Amino acid sequence: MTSHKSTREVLLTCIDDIEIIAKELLDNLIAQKQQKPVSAEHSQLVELVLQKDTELKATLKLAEEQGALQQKVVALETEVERHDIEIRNLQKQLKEAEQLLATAIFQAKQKLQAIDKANSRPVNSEELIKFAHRISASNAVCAPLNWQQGDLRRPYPTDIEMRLGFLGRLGEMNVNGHMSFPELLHRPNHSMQQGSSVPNSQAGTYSWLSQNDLQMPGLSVSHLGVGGGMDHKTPKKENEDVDVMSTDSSSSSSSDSQ
Amino acid sequence: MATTQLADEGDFDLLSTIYDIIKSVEKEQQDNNQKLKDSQEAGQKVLELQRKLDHAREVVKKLPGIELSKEEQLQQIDLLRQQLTLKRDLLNKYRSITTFDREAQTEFQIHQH
Repeated sequence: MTSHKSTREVLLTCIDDIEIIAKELLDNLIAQKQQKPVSAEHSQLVELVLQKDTELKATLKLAEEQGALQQKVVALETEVERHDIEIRNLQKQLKEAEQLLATAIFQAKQKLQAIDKANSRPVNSEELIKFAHRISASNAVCAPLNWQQGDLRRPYPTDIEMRLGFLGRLGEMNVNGHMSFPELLHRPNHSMQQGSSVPNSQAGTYSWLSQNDLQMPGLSVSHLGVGGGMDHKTPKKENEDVDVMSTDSSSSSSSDSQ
Repeated sequence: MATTQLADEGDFDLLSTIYDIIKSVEKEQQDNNQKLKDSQEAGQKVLELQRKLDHAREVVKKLPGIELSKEEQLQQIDLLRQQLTLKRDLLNKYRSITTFDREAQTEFQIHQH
């Protein structure tokens, strides 16, 4: 197959041959005029040039046919290119689909694992709601729905609430030397009845407390003090210490109320 | 004979020019002036032949589709046709593929277990 010359090469060779033969012919002719004639060679050359011309014409015909074929080739190549583009698009789409499906399957597997995990250790929804109540009772998670600017409630225990707590009343109740648990229980009860400006959060915690079975005594004691309503602070030495502590910039925000 | 739209019949008509040259060379003239004229004419014809040859070469270079021999070109067409068939079949296969259905699902489960 490599011995096949392209038609273009054949044509160009033909033309070159004709040129050479024509030159020879003319040289011969001129020589003929000047010297004795060499007619045999001359006729040979003439025949040769005629032959080459015929070859040229035949090759030109072939070139014409090939030109027509070339149009078919171009059309086929265009079609093939079009199909290539379609195949590439399809490939892209399949790749995307595969990715989407892989993600979906992965997430579904994770969901199934979570479901299995949840089924292996079921939790009572009532308990979950109770815990949620407890956690959000202090308004640390989210402000109360009716909270406005100027509301004294804060997401952290304010100094008032701290003073009403165990540590705050540690100095107050030190008459007996120690506080008994029932006293702590009764105190907030008393104060609750007198309390005028009781913030809602304090009432909320107390109501939670009364419902609960006091499962966490440590926590409940600190919240007990919250139940007391405070009109004024009893000036005591321990309270002064508490005051000093509470004038810390971070906790004085409760007095920053507008 | 016309080859393509790019080539005229006269582009490859070299024989007639050669014949003209031979004719003008073989003209026997006694008059010196005429001889001079004849030789000039012959010279011009030779130049014309040269020009024609160059022009023919240019035309051949521009002709389309003759980069390969005829056999090679036919092979190329064959190859392209095969390619086209393959690609068309591929595309049709994927176009007609059914989307997810119960049969495929059960097959997949069987494969899994």
